[in-house]
Amino acid sequence: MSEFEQIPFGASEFADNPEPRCPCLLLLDTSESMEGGPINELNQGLATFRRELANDPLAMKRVEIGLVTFGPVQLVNDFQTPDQFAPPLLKGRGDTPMGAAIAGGLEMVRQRKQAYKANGIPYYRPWIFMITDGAPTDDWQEAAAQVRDGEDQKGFSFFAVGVQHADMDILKQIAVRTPLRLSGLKFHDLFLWLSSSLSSVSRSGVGQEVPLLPPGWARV
Amino acid sequence: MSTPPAPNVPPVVVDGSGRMLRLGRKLGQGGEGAVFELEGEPTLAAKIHHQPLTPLRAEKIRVMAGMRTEKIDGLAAWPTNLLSLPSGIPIGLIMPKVVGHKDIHHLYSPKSRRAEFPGADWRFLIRVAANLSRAVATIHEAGGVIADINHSGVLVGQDARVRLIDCDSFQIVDAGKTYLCDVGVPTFTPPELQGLLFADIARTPNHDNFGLAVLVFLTLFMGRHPFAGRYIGLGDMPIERAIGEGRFAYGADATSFQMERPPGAPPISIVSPAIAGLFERAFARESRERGRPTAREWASTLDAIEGQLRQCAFSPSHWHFSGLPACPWCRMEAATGVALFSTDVSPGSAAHFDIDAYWRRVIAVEHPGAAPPLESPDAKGRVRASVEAVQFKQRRALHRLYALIISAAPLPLVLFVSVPLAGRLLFLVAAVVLYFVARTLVRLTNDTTVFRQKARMDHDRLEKVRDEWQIAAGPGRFDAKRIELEKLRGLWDESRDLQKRKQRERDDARHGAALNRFLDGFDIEAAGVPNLNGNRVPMLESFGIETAADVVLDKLDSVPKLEKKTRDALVDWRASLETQFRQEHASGSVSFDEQLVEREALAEQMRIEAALRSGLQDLQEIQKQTLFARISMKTKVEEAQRAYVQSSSDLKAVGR
Repeated sequence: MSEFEQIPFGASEFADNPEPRCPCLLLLDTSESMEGGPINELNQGLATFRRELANDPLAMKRVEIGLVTFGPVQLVNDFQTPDQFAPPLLKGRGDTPMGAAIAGGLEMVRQRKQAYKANGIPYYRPWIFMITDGAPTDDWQEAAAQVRDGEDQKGFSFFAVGVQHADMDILKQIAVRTPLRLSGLKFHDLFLWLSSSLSSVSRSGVGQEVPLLPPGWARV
Repeated sequence: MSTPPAPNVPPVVVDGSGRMLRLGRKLGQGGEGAVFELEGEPTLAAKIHHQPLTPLRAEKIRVMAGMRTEKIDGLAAWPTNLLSLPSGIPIGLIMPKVVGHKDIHHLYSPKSRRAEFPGADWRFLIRVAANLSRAVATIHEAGGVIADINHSGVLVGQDARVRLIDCDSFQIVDAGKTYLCDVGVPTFTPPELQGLLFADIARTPNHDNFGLAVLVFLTLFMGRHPFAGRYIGLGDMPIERAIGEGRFAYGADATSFQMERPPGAPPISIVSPAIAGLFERAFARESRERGRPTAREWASTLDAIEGQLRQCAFSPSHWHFSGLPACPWCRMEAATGVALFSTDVSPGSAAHFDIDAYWRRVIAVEHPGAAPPLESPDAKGRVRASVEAVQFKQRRALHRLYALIISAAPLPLVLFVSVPLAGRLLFLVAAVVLYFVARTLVRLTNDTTVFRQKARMDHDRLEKVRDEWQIAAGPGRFDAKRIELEKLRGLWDESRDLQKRKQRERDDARHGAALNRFLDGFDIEAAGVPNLNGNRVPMLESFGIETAADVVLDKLDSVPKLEKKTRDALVDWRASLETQFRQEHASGSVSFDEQLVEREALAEQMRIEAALRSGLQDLQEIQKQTLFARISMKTKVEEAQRAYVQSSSDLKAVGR
């Protein structure tokens, strides 16, 4: 090692844990209409998510959770392994600036990948998981174009989930993958599925296609 | 993940000799199936597949059970029996249960190593790598190939012994028939097999030797994969591709392969040249023909380095190759702030918080800088007035025209109709009045208030958004946190200084009181001081000088006519007793009260340290949030800006 080796910021966490990373960004709608039942279920779902991942020691080292809420857009949690992730208590208020949330989220993913590359950390294709119960109240066209580009270049996988009265037509225009509608308020089932899917991905080889379980929480 | 749906797990299974067995607690979960306890068989475990086994697979397990030797049983969880459903369909196998062992990846990542293998230093890692090599060599010499060698197929005990698991996927040969392995993990797969389907390929020990070298590398190099480097070329360099192209990131030729060792990772020189040579051979593309180092070679070379290790002079948990001029772990730990090996931290000792290293990390958090300047709304100049404003203007012009026509209506009467002058004047006045009435009407029906209000609202909103931007995207929160940390650091320094001073005071006080007690035990009479005859003693005693403790200067001064010789002798006597005391009490014990006080001060210091640690995390968080806000808030600011420019242009267009 050269005496004056440059150590970039962030090298510590990768020196501490050099396992390949499987980043998962949650984009969660916290607009006013989510207040009450939906937000409570969502909060419990997040706790379930953390608890389930904790059962899988390999996932605890490989999965990284990022969390951005919108209404207003807030970075709640930058990418961290689940042991560092404290499930927040979200509140529903504000409008639905989905476009800004997606733009910010995609930038986070881009920067995280840069950090992986700079530190020689292998990574799986990032997952972006957006949950909303409404329609964007801001400009979302640009964000939608970015999502399409990213999916085309296999830069990430973008999943959209509509809750209750979500505008599925707009979600279809944003996500390349068919958006799914949450059956009732089955956030618990959704996060169980998400954690077990991430567990399977993190156990697979980087770049391998992993068959996912059917999402039992979605309705057609 | 694929938790098998409950109905798929049979409650009762049958072994090869027809014995009925009941499944117990689930022990683990793999890709193909899950592992369970067997009721009444504490030393055995059952692996139950999600899908019934193919006849070939079932036959393989029967064959493997027949191949067992004591040697193999000692290092692998070898299948001992086939398990079937009561209906006779083969579904899994019995194997010895491995207790008290952990996945090897828990050992090689520094973070999990500290928790799962406390006390494991680099000597331990070398021993594990050597034991692993011996296990692989044993399988090879028995004619087997591990084939799917990977990070979750090796368990390690706290005594550094390893056990191979998932043995039913090994490739074995029996009576001239080869039972293949149809799986593999790409990051452990040699270049010649990358991208191929394993189902039809007969694997060789030379293939295993690649995976073994990867696993040894991970173990010795702090969990770093040999092919996960920084790629300086364009685009991504997935590990599979790097393996295929021989881009060993730590090799002598790494640069020509456009690979760099990741920052903060150990250089190849941490291992002996002999071991480095083995890695080069194992990872070179040419080795697919020439042959990679065998498991036996690994074992003997790793054994050899055990005799060439040295303990670091500064950190007892650092053991390193003695051929190095300095301890590589010290340097790495200083650079990354990561404790690579767990150290035994004695409770109540705060000395382990390295304030300087900590502060370097604080300074390393880059200041986010001022928020990027926002364009002044006036700079954008005017934009074209909106349709509403244009329509408003047109409508108002039309209304003005009507007003003019209406108010001009009486004028012809003034000029052409023959009425008396007074009447003409009346028409003129009427025209003027009409004009003003019409003008007021036009003004009332074409009110610009809406535009004014809109412009004011947009202006206020823009101000608000700009304020929000300053708070979220500006450096204010970052600066405040930095100041807070600086204050905390000041407190820490104070607390340490205070503790040091207290310690000194306590030492003084403790030794002072104890010394006095000690000196008090020596009567001057019994001291045997020369020149001190019998009648001098009562005289001294009458001046309060009875024991060595009383031999202090001001008391001696009060004794009249004390000969200098006697006086010096007394002072020397006391000095020699003090020296004796210090020698005996060099390591005095601490009283309970003193311990309590000490502990309290220490607790306070540790509270400050905790605040410093979490403050550093906050600082990093704030920095990220600030940079994030600059992206996520941009649209909002721009929208407000656009709205304001539009409405003020509209207002200008319609006039005030």
